[in-house]
Amino acid sequence: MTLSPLDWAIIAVYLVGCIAAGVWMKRYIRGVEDFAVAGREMDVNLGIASLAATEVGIVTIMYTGQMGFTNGFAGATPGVLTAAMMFLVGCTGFVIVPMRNAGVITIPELFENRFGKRVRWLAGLVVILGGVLNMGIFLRLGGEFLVHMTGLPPNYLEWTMTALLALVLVYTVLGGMLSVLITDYLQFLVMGLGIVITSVLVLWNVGWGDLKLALADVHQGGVEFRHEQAAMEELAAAKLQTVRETQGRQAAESLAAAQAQSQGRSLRARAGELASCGVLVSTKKDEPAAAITMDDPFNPVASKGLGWVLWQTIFALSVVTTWQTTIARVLSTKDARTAKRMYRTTAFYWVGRFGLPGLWGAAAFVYFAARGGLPGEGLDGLTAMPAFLKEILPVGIIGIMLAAMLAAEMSTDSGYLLTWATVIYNDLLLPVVRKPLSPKLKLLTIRSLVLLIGVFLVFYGLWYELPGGAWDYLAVTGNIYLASVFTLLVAALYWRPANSWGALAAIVLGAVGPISFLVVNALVPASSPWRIAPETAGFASFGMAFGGMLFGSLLRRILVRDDDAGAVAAVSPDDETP
Amino acid sequence: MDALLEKLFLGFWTVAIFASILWYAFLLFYVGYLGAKDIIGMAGRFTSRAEEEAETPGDR
Repeated sequence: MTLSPLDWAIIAVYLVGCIAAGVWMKRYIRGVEDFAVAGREMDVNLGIASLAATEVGIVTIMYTGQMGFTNGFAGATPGVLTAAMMFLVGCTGFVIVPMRNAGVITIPELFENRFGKRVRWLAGLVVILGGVLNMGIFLRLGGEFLVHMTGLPPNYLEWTMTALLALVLVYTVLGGMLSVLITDYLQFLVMGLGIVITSVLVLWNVGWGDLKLALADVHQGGVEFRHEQAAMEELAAAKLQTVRETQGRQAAESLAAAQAQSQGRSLRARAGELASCGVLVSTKKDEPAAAITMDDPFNPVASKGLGWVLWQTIFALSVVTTWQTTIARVLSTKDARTAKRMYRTTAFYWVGRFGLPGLWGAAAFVYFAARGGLPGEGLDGLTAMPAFLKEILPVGIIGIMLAAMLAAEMSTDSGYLLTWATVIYNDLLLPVVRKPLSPKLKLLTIRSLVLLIGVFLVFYGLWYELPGGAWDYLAVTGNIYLASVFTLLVAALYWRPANSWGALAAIVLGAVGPISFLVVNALVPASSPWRIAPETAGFASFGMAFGGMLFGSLLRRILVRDDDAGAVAAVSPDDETP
Repeated sequence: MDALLEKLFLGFWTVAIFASILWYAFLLFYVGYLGAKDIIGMAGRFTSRAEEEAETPGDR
């Protein structure tokens, strides 16, 4: 264990203070609007704190750290793109102003006014599917960080996750958005302090000038290693082909397994030598050793490809206009002007959201490469960064850092739990309930939903294995709803011919790309040519959603003569009710 | 051309990282102070609303 009594004391004071403040806010809850959008009483600075705290969780720190570990600063590109898009939206009011002025609680509610109840329900379902799957890995990654940072035994991970979620559930179930806002504010302060101190200490430890030079060196070493590997893989593939032709498929499969084992053993044996060349070897138990190299650490196009950068650009625009947890803050503001100001002021926060943990990840790579490779067992690209922080942070600062990370995790979990519960209540349950519910029953329903999502997350988080990089998983699952809901939102607000056929086609087609990615990549092996690249799945979902909206809407206008979609105002339903 | 591009990216990331640290430190105090004022204002509005409702009871 790394923690001293001082570290534990800091963490305990933070947790008690946070939960007390959250539970205290329960007194102000009178109805669903108070619970879901804080009675629309949120002012700009509280909005900035809440937005920033919700969108930075341990999961964020983990995947941005992982991207820094494998792509250096180029891995922070999504943060720069999101900051640019958020500032643009904050200046123009694109989507967020008409959304706030519509007076709705969730995005799908807006769709009912334009496309009818069926579209609202289906959009709600897609939002939930994408949102909850996306949130599914938060707890595991959060637990991994805490285990590696504190030195707790790995089998404590599940208990750590469950205990953390239970604490979050206490104040979220009781006080809803009001508790979330107050705890977000406290968490924003603790998290900001931890991130600033840690970043300064990382720079102090590694040195900015040395870090830049070392990143260029390890990248070069990685390029040379990959060339060697490619040549060896070519030879191995030729040998396999010969065996397959002369001795049959079974013999070839045995040889392939033996080759993989031998490669893993060879990598482990050469870990020290490889580290000095800028290549790290993962030390995960029960998994074959894998080489980790640094892609171009500065140029995002060279590092991840132009297709990925373009996908991230459209993804960033859709996140800041459509992601329900972000929009929940827009809908909680006093007015549209406050929402725009909140966006403009928070925008640059996104650069640090990716850039600072990315800095820690990049520094971790250089640090371990200079010290003979990843130490101990259970380390890979995802967990190396917290292990690095454990080594460089002094007593007391580790306590602040851990409190900061707990803050980050709790604010994100509470915000997300509340948001998805609100969507289920508002867009899946309310439209099908025939008798109006009493205010007490409404509150009980939405509180129970928060609790149920929490229980689901514990079980999903325990068994799901990531099919690739954490950021790619999050981006692709988020895409299940981002592509279709972004298309619906833009069309509903800015394209008069849009109608329900287009909306339904956009929802279904937008979900096809990301779901194919999840299913296909879970079924086929890592080396298979059938695997789908995240940018392909991402682009396909946006393209198909836009195409669906365009063709569906036009088809209805041609086939159904009474559909005067062009003349339908943005606030009136254009057709059917269930 | 590649060397120039690398220099440009290096400069960009240097500014982005150091500006982020400064921005986070600034927001800590700026939002810390004004956010607390927002919370007090919001709690005050909820309290007066509760008092009004207590005078004229009714379902929300």
